[in-house]
Amino acid sequence: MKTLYRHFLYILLALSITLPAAAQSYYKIYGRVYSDDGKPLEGASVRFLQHGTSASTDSTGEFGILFYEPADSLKITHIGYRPLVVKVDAKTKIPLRLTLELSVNDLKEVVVSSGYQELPKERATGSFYKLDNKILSQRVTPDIISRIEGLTSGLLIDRREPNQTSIQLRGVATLTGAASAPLVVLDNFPYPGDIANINPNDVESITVLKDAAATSIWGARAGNGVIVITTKKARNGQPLTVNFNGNVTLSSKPDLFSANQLSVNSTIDLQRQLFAKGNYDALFDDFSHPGIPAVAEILQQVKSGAISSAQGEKQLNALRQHDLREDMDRYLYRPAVVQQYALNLSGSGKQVKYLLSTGYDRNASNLKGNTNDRITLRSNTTVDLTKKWQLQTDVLLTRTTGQTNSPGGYGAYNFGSNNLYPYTRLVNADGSPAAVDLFFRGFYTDTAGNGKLQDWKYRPLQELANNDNTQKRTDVLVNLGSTYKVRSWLTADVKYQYQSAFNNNRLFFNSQSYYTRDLINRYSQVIGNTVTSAIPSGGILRTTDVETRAQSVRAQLNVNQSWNDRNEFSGIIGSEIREAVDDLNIRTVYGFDPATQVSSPVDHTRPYPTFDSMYGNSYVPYETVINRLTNRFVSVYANAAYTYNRKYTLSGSIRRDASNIFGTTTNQKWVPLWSGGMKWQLSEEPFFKVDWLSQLSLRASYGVSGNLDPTQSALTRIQYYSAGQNVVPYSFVGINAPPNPDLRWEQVKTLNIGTDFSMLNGRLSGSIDYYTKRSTDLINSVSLDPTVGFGIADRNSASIAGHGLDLVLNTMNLTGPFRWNSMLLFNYVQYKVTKNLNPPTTNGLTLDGTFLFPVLDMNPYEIISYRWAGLDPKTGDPLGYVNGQPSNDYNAISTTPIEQQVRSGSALPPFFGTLRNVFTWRGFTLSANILYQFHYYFRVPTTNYTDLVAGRPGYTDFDQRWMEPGDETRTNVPSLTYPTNARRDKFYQKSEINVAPADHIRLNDMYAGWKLPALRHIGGIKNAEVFFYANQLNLILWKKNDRGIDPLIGYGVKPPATYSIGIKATLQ
Amino acid sequence: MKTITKSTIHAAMVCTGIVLLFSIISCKKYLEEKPDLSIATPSTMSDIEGILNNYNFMNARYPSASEVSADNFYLLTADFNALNDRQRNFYLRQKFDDIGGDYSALYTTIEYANIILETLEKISGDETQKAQYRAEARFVRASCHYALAQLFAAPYNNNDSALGIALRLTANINERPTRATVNETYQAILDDLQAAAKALPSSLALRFRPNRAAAFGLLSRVFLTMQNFEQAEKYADSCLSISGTLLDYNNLNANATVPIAQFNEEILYDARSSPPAALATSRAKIDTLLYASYQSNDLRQTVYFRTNTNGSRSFKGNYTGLNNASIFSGVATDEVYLNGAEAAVRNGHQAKALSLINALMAKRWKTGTFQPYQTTDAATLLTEILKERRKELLFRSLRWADLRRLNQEAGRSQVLTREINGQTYTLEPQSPRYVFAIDRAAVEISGLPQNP
Repeated sequence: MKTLYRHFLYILLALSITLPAAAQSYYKIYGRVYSDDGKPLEGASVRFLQHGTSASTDSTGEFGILFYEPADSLKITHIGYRPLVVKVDAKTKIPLRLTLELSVNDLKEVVVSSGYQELPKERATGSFYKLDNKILSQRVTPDIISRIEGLTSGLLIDRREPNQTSIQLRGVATLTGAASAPLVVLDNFPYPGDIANINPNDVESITVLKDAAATSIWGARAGNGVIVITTKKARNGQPLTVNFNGNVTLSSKPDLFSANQLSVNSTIDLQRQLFAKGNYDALFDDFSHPGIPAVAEILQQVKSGAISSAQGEKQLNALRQHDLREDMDRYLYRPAVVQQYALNLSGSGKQVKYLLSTGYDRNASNLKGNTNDRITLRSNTTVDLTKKWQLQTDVLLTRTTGQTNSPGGYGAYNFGSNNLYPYTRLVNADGSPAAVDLFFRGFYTDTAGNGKLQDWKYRPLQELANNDNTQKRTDVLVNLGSTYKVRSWLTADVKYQYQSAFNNNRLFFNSQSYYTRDLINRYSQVIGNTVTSAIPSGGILRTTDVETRAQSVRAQLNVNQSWNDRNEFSGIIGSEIREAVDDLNIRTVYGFDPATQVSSPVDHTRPYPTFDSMYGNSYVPYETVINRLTNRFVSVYANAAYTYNRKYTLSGSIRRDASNIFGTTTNQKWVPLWSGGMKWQLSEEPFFKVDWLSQLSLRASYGVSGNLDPTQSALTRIQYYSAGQNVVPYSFVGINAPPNPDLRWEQVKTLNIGTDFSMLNGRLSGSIDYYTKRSTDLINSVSLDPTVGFGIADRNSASIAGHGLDLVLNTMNLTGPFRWNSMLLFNYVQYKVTKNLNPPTTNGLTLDGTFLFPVLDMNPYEIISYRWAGLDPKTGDPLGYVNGQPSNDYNAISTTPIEQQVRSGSALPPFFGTLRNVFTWRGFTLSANILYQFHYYFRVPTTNYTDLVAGRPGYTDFDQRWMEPGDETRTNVPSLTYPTNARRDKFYQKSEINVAPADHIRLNDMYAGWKLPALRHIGGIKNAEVFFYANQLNLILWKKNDRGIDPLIGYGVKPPATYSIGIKATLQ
Repeated sequence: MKTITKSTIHAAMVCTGIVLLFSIISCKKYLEEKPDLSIATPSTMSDIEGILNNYNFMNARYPSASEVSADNFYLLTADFNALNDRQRNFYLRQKFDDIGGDYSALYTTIEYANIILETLEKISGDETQKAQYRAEARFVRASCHYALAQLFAAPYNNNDSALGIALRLTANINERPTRATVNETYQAILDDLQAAAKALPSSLALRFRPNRAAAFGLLSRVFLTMQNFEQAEKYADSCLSISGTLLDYNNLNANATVPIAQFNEEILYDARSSPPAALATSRAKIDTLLYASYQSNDLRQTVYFRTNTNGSRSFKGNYTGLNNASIFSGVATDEVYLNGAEAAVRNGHQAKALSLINALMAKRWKTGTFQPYQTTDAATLLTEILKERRKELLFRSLRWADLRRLNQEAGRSQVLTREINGQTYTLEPQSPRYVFAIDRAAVEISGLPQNP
């Protein structure tokens, strides 16, 4: 480190030698800068390009600047405005009167934040992408991620798994799902909490760091890119300002009939057929009394003679009259309402800047019983203690309360091989909640215990009324900072952050809830008229507390020096220590009465007989888990950038990280990560005289970042479990992983070449970045021979290489009173596995691209299928190929070498982006985001007969199946066989005919706002805007597949569009 | 140009120095903290104790494929059709190499035992305690190797060239497995068990933990499998001299869904398989001839079986004490009585054989109704003992090994048949199907030779 510091100083000294200025005649000229609405513009930067003299405008928009004869170009810039260049010579009329036009998302004069420092984008060699408040506030969603989705260059959000949204910046650089997300930084420090907790109304801007020059300062956690969130702060010289934002978002109930479900009639007909073949026979004798489909129960009664066959037919016909989705729609769903209010107050005095904000969000979701509230409170203060010493404090409190009392919506009732069949009713004829035989057979629960047990029926609507499940989360984030100006060019910073997140999940099963009744019954013994149970009567309360505390301390020196008007140097050097501790605490108490808060003891030490000996002798569930995780990081870092004559910039950074995650010697833990970059402002060169191209720069960077998965360890890992999780009443130890002494951090090497440009008087501006990414030492699960005792192990054994292109284009199509601006984002990213030391078995491999699967030379999300040879015209069997011949030998097909399988392409789009159009006229704004995704594929869902027969859901394609010779000309759906053949079903499901292109263009969301002109004159109101916003429109403008399936929804329920209305106002 | 003064450089250097010092001093100790207090590397004696208490991994991973292939039960075609490929192939005794857990699960238990053995070499602790833990791990390893050998190794008949199982005697997952011969396999099992028996405790307080009686009982079983009747008799004696307690079936509630309790006094070592779908009580119907072989005062008829609505019988006499199809795979005294009786009569000790078999039967019949065996004709007595063995030890993971052993004896070999969908499937006594295929992953990844 010391050598590095010495080099640092040498560079500093070497760069201070500059060229002498030539003697020329000069004088001062004056002028004034206005914004396009005619108001004077304060803080605009004014600079002669050739001689480099500069000035800035005061509060009246006025400036004075030295002008060297005979002529020069004067450049005026201001954040949020398009830069202006005017020629000045002796004849130019003085004072100058200059007007700047507002720009939307202009790339120049943007300050980007890396989380360690703020730097002007003009001088940044790395690839940064910034979203400002203006664009963020034109989306009305409760969380940050959905506000930046589709509006961020290089960012793709994979929402295929609804509960596992994954964020990918410039593709995939790791094979570990848990470690593939970009690092999220909130005001200088990594944010360990749930990003959904951040109130978007508190966010001023977001900077996305994409290449090594931008990210490497974050070292071992930056391999997937970094998202830096900067919160709102008061500005210098700002009078007391109040901002208010309130809105309501509504959406209708989802259309459950949009789900492609197997019809009631087909379900009943199928179950009849299965009954006749004896499929359900064993269930009637099963000691565990599983639920049996109602159709089979009716037919069994007919068979046993309990009812006549006419009665049976009548009952079956009654089932045909009803679809479960009608009841679900009526009793489980409601229109959703989301309300969002935010108020902030900011201002500054001589030595103090302050901002106070509060927000309240309430989300009543589509499912009855599920709501979510969030209250945020924030205070940000900056105090200048002396001229040299500044203190910053920032306190953020977030409290969220959620209720998840819905027993579940459509598709949520799968239990083992049983589910709610399409003809199930949720209410009885008299309107009371109906029992469904999901867990036990109705005939069993009718009579078990001869009425002496607790009611043993499961009724979803009764659960909705009884569920009492609350999640509370309290986040406290305290930032303290002190900045001392050692010299005019040197400041020293110390920053401290304390974060605590307290998560409390309270699950109360009252005495009427199914969980409690069922558990009491299971442990009941009936002797004569007495019933005893090892479970006391009353409710069962389970609480889960997770407390996360993170502390970080950072000490940093910042150098910012410019001299001779030609040399600019900036650099930082610092170190950081971070600790995050998670405490987990789960407890269950029995016989709990919420009124008196009294609970009863239970005996976990010995097994109790279960009712009817259904489970033999069994211990009372002992659900107590106490656990603590500690992660520690130590880092040292430095970076520096030098710019000569505003044309040439060189930058470099280095960082070393260590962590206790691997638990081996410190030496092995230290991974040096570095980057270097350069930039050339071509348009500043005297020889560059292209009239229509006002600005052009070239950038190049290369560097290494790291990536880590906190769940890895190099040693044999064991884990303690409490006795409740054991068969015998002793705590025990499980072996999580065999030893892995070679474990290292993953490395991501990124090369980035880019250009920023502005042309045609700023009407067209943007950037193009080409990059290559090489990730090596990737940790990958490899299959082991089961003989060694573990089926899989993780090893640093794979590499991925990728490349791509990010294009950002901003255009001003129309200027003047009616303005039309467009933004086009185009992203291309392609990657494949280039090394895999432990290649997976690929014989008979089929993939849906839903998870990362590393086959050499393939995209890890590749979709792979069996070749399809049509249906056998005689039997309706699906045919594949064995040795090039059509065949129904599914065992042989199941081992087809991968070379003979069909590779369709990636399940994630290599080409994607957004076209955003913004129209403004007077106070009106209309913006619309059109998203496109090209050249990727999806697996069309199909009914799997084996699953269907086992009680899992089917789709309408079942009705299209092959029934008789000739059908093969109209359908590809194979004939139904009984018994089913799992390999035959898998072959059809995973064959190439069930892959379709997912390419599409969709209108995603629209915003319309109106600045109220009438209010401008009412006391204090500076501006007010009412707006309307429509989201989740999912209006497909074009799609490639001709099967009528929205590739993002498949056969599921189409989410309803949401509509918001709101107001934003600023009072000053 | 602004010059950089000396004092400025000093100020900068001091600041940098503070920054660097601050991080490096604290670094080493700071990083020693374990990431997760409940996640650790095995390093203490209580870690070992904890692993031995892990019932699901140490005791509950025994195979069940052999029981599905054995002849205690039959399936109706409809129930057969509802099974997955794997269970259907086991039931029809077809060659099938996608064997899964029946192959892999026990190797995980063996890896646990090997991790215990290797950890004990590195940690400090009471030597007696360490010797006991070592013995427990070796018992578990031997028990697993034995169970695997009954499925994947050729039947023992002193043919040294026949393929045994892959013996795992190391915890290093990078050490490539190879298949031993049958003789090597049994020698390794005997080495482990005989060494373990010396250091295991005699106490039966924890019936899921290895103990000396269980080791002797298991040794009697292993020697019986090897047709070494002298040793089998000797170890059965040693076992019963520690604990010969039998359950009196007169004291059981035959009407209960599960009449036999877990950890009852007959259990010397409790272990089990996962429940195979084919053996679900709702599907597996008891072989009618087998059921008919129980006489009316034999309590096993009501304790072991329940009558289904269609008149067939299903099994409920599970020594696991569970109402599911898990197969009891441990050691119980009733088996040791039968091992001892059979070995004794084969060794010419008829009187001893009679006393053992009669002692067991007295506890199985309604009090006062059992007529003790009296014959001294060795061949007749052996036949009677084998009949009782058949009736006593069903669904205990023992029948398959008995079939493999007895098929080698003239006059005791059997042809097994199954009927499904109107088709008959036959298993000849010397069929290679008495040896299961090893899992295809072992063949593909390590290149282990597949069974014929």
